Amino acid sequence: MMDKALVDAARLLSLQVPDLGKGKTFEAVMLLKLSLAIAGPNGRCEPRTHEGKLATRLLLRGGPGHIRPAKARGKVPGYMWIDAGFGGAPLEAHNSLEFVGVSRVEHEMDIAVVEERVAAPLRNGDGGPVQGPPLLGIELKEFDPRRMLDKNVTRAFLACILDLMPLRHITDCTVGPAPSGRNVWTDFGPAQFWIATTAQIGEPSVDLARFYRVKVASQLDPASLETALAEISGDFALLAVMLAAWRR
Amino acid sequence: MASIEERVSRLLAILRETPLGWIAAELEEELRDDGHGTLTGEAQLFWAGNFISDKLKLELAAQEELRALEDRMDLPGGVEMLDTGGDGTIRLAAPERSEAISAFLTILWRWLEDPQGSTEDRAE
Repeated sequence: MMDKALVDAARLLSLQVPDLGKGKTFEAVMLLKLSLAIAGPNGRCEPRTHEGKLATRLLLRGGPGHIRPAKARGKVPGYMWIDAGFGGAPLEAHNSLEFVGVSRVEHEMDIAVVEERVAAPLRNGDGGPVQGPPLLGIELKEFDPRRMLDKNVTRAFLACILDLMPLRHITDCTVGPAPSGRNVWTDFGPAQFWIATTAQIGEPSVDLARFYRVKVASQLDPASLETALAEISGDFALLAVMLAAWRR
Repeated sequence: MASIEERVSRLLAILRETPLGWIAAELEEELRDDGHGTLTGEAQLFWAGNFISDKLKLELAAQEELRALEDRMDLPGGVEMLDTGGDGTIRLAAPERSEAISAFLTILWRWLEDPQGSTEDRAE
């Protein structure tokens, strides 16, 4: 009797939550909360359809995908539009968006922030993946809080970043007659990358990530992301200001 | 009543028969590789229950947060995820999803306490 009740409950659960274990709800929470955090008290953010119109229902990608053309029909994923409130360019936050590396291979970012001026031409044309890196890219892993995140997650993420921004990894090199050991590329590059997980992260993974300037937020709780988001959006604001100055 | 070890094996077998077989596989891996298999008796049984509960409670917490965000962002149609296998969508914070998780957790813990017991709520 109890066995059957347990089987029935498990089957009902699988029907109602077919995405269980894939972390898609966590991904949606992170996307919305990050957009609010980047907008801050002086900016604003809003859900938009794939046509760029204000949405009353936000559709998200179920798996890795491109920016779809505004002319596309049917069910097409949208995004969060953000005015960060510090005079920078309008931004967009997407889930599961793909970016093309120098190898021409596409890499998915679970959460990515890009400038509207980068995404809009794709949307207004035939769509496609974004060429090059995002302004902000986050690898999300919703795993058991008692488990340690597999070290290969950090390794794989670093490989994607390497393909998207090869020069980002050059932190100590000599250019022409410059003194040997001059830090040419340290802290250069507007993209910021994070690994954010509900699981624990071992010291070697943290060290590996830190060495390549990938930040880590571990043992996250979907209900209390504020500390991590404040740090992510704070870093991002600094980057956006730097980027704006660099463009002037 | 079956021994504790038999009950853990039975739990794994039941889950394997359902689409939640992946949870059984992860649980087995933990029991085998991470030393939890050395737990005995009730400790092992309730460790297994907590392992499954924690996994589901993360999803439950995320759904609650998403419902609050939908209200805050004035999204009456909610946040939906495109179904990768077809043209459908899934409303991630739909109340029936949370209800299905809660119902499963209730039955799971009743089963862990007494697999031969009643499926009905106990009288107060």
